Amino acid sequence: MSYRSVNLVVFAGIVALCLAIIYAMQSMRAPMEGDIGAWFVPSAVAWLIIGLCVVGVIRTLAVGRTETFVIPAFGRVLISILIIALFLVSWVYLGAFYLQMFVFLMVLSLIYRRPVGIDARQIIITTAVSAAITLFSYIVFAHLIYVDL
Amino acid sequence: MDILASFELASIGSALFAIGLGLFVGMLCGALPGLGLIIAVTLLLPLSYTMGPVESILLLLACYQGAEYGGSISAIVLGIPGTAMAAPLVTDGFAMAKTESPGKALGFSLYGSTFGGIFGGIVLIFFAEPVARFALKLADPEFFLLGVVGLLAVAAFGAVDFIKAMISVALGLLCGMVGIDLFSGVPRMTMGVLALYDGMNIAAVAVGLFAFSEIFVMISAPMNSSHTFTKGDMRIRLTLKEMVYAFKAMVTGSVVGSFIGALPGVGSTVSGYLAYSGAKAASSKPEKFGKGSGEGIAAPDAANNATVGAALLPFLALGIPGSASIAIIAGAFIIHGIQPGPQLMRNNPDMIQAIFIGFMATTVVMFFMGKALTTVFARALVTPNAFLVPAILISSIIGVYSSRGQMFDLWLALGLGIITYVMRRLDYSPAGFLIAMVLAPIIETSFRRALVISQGDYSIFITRGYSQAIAAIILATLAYAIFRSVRRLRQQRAATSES
Amino acid sequence: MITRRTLGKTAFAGIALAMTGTSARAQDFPTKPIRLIVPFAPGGLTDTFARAMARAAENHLPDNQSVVVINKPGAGGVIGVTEAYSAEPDGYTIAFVISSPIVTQPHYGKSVYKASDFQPIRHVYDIPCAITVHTDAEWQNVDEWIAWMKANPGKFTYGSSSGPGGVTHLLAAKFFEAAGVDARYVPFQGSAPLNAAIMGGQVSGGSMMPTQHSGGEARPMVFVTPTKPDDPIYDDVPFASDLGIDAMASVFSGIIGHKDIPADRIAILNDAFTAAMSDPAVQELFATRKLVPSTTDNAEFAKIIMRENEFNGEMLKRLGLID
Repeated sequence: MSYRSVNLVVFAGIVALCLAIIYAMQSMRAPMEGDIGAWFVPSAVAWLIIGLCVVGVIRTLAVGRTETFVIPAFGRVLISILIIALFLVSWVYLGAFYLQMFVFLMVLSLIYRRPVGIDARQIIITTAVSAAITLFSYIVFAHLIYVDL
Repeated sequence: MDILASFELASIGSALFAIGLGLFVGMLCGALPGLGLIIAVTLLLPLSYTMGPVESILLLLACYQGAEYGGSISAIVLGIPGTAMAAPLVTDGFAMAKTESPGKALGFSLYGSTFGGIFGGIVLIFFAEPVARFALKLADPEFFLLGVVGLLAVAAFGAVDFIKAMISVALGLLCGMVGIDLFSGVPRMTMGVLALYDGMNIAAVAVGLFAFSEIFVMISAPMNSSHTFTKGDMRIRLTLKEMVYAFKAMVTGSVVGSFIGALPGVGSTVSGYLAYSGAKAASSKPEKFGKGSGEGIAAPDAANNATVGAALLPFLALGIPGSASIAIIAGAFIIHGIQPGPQLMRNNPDMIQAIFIGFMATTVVMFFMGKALTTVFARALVTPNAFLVPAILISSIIGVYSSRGQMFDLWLALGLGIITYVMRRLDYSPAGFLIAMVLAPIIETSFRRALVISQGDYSIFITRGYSQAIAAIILATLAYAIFRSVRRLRQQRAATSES
Repeated sequence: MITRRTLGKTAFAGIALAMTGTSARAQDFPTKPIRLIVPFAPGGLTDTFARAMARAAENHLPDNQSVVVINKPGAGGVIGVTEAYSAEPDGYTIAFVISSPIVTQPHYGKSVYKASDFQPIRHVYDIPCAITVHTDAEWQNVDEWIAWMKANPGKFTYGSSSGPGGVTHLLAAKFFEAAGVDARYVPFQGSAPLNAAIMGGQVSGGSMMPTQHSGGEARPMVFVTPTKPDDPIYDDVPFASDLGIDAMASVFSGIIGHKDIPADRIAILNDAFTAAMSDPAVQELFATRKLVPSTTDNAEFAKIIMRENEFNGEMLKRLGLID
C-alpha cells in the first residue's frame, strides 16, 4: 500500500469513529439548569474532527506521498504483538504469572537473538537474563510489596 | 533562628536516610517504564508507618521528587518516558543522547530538575499561604481559559502536518471525556466497559503511546547492535557556558511549574508541556527545539520538579490535596494524625520547618545521587535491544496492571501502542494527543460548571477580573506567535531572494 | 463478568480439594493470606483505616495469618466491590467499603451485584456528614440560614463530596426538601475540590464530612447523619432531627463479604476485626480522625445496610436520577 492509501484508510477509520460517537451522544440529553448537556462537547469535537479529516483527504488526494508504506521487519513486529497478546490471555486463564513471565522473556529474547545465531551459549545467556529479571520481579512484587499479579 | 537547634544529630541522620531511600525508590520506579509514582509510594507506605512523622513525610516527598526526575532518565536514554510527566522531553532528550552525548542530555535534565526543585521549594517556603489563597480565587471560568492556554502549548511542537496535529489534539480531547459524566451521571463512550467509567487510565495511555509504540520501533530496527560511547560521553557534566545557555529555560520552566503546581487538579504533565512551549518562545535558538535542544530538556524537567514543591503548597497551607500524587502522600499525614492546614502552620511551625528544610535537602541529595546513579541507568544504552525490549515490555505490563489492577488497561495500552506506531509514521502527534487528553476533563467540567453556577449566563466568562486577565494573556500570546512567524517568514524570504 | 483468574482459581481449588480429600473446615481457616479489597485509591480515609485494621487483625487471626490490602479503585468503588463479589465465596476475599458502592450504585443498574448479595463482617464507623458553609458566612445559626434560604429561593448553591447521586448529595437533597427550601445543586467530585470551591466562594456550601476540628475553613450548619465527629467544637451544631426534620441516614463504613461465605468463617473474621478495633494503633486513628468506633453487631449492621439501600433507591427516584 502507498502512503496515500494508508492515509485515506486512517481518515476513514477516524470519521467512522466520530460518526459512532455522534450517534451515541444522541441519546444523552436531560441537562440540569444551565448545563449544555453531556452530549455537547463530544459531539462538537467529533464534528470538528470530521471537518479536519475532509480537509486532510482533499490534501492527500492532491499532494499525497505515493511511495509504498513499509513496516520494516514486519514479521517480527507482528510476532511480538501476537506473543504479548498470548501472554495476556494465558495469564487470565492460568494465573501463574511469574512462570509465564519467564517463558515470555525467554521466547522473545530467543526470537530477537536469532539473527546472531542460536547456539548453546546463546541459550544459556538468554536463560540467565530471563531468570534474573523474573527473580528480581518476584522478590520485589511478591515479597517487598504485594502486587496482586 | 532556632531551627537548627531543634534538630538533633540522630534525627538528621534518620531524615537523611529517609530522603535517600525515597529518592532511590522513586528514581528507580520512575525510570522503569510503566512503573511510576503510585507503585513507588505503595512500596514505601508500609515502611513509612514505622517511621516518625517528619521522616515518613520526607520519605514520600523524596520519592515524588525522585520519580519526577527518574522518568526523564529513560526518556533520554531509551526514548521512552518512564512516566507521563516525562513525555514532554522525550523528543529533545532522545535526539541529543543519540546525536551528541547522552551524558550531556542527562546533565541538562539533572541540572534542570535540581533547579526546578529548589525553585519550587523556595516558592513553598516563602509564598505558601498567599499563593494558595490566590489559587483559591481562581474559579471555573478561569480554569476553562487556562485549559485552552494549555492546548495552545501544542503549537510549540513544530507539527510536520498541521491538520493531523489538530486531529491528534481533537482525538485526545474525545478520549479525555470517556467515562461517567459528572453532571448527568451517565457513562459516555465507555462501550459498557466498567474499567472506563473513571476515564482512560493515564498510566495505560502513556505506556501505549510512548512505551509500546517505541518498542515496536525498536523491534523494526536491527536488535543486536548497540551504541558505543566513549567514557566521557556518559559522564554527567555541563560546562558553565551550557549552564548559562540553559538558565533562561530553567527559570521559565520553574515559574510555569510552580504556577501550575499550585492549581488544584492540573499536574505535571501539563506543566512540562507548557514549560517546553514557553522555553521555545523565549529561546534565542527555537529552531533547535525538537532536534536535541538542551533548553528543551531543561525546561520541562525544571517544571516537573518545581511542580512538586508547588503542589504541596495548597495542601500544607489549606489542607487541600491538589493532585492525585499529593493525595497519596496525604496518607502519610493521616496515619500520623497530622491534619495539614492553617492550623498546622500556626500551631506546629517546628514540623513545617522540618519538612521545608528536608524538602530542600531532598533536591540537593537528588543532585548528587542523580550524578552517581544516572550513569548506571544510562548503561541500558549499551545493552542490545534483544534483551532490553522483553524487559521493558514486562516492566510496562506490571506497571500498567498494578496501577489499577485492571486487565482491560493492558489491552488498552497494547491497542493504543499498535495504533500509535502506525499513526506516528503518518505524522500524527502523540504529544498533542496526551496533553489534550489530560486537559479535556478540566476544560469541559469547568466550562459546564461555570454555566451551571451562572444558570446558563455566558457572560460569566468575561465579567470576572481574573478571567479578563487570563483572556488578555491568551490574546497576547497569540498575537506574539503570529508576529514571530510572520517575521520568520519574511526573514526566510529575504534569505532566499538574496541567494 | 469473569474476573481474571476466577476460572483458574476454581480449577486449582478443585484439584487441591481432590488431593487432600477433605472439605474445608473452619479450623483450617485461614490457611493463606486474606485479601482485603479497598475499592479506592491509596491514601484516603478508607484506605488508611483498612490498612491499620488489616495490620491489627493479623495478630488475632489463627496462625497470625496475614491480611493484605489491595486497592482496586474505579467507577465509584463498583470495580473493587465487583471483585469481592465475583471471587470464590471462601472468606479469603473480602472488602472494606463505604456505603455508596453497596447501597447507591446498584440502583443505577451499573453493577452486577445488589446490596443483598453481601453479608456484613464488621461495622467499623459511620462517616458524619453535615451541610457546611464558609466560616465567614453571614448566617450565625441554622434558623437564620433556613429563613434566608426561604426568602431567597434558588440562591443557596451547594456541592457534595460524593458527586451527583452520591450518598452525601441525597442526604442534603432530602434535608432541603424536608425543610421546604429551594437550594441549587452544583456537581463536584471529591471533598478536596469542593472544599476549595467553598473557600473560594464559588458555591455557598457543601454536603460532606466537616473538617472544622482540624482547622478547615468550612463551618457546619446542620448534621444530616445521626453521628457527629467526636469533638467539642460541634457541640452547638444541631442534628436535622433536632429541628424536627426527618432527613437522617447513616453513611456506614465497614468490612463485608459475599453472602455465601460460610458462617463459621465469617465468625472467625468478625472476631479478628472486632479485636483489631481495640488495637492501640487503630484506637489512635479513631481519636485523631475524631471518628466514633462502632459497637454495632452484625445483625444490626445488616439491618442498617438494607435500610440505607431502601432510602437511597427511594431518594434517587424522587430526584429523577433513576427511573
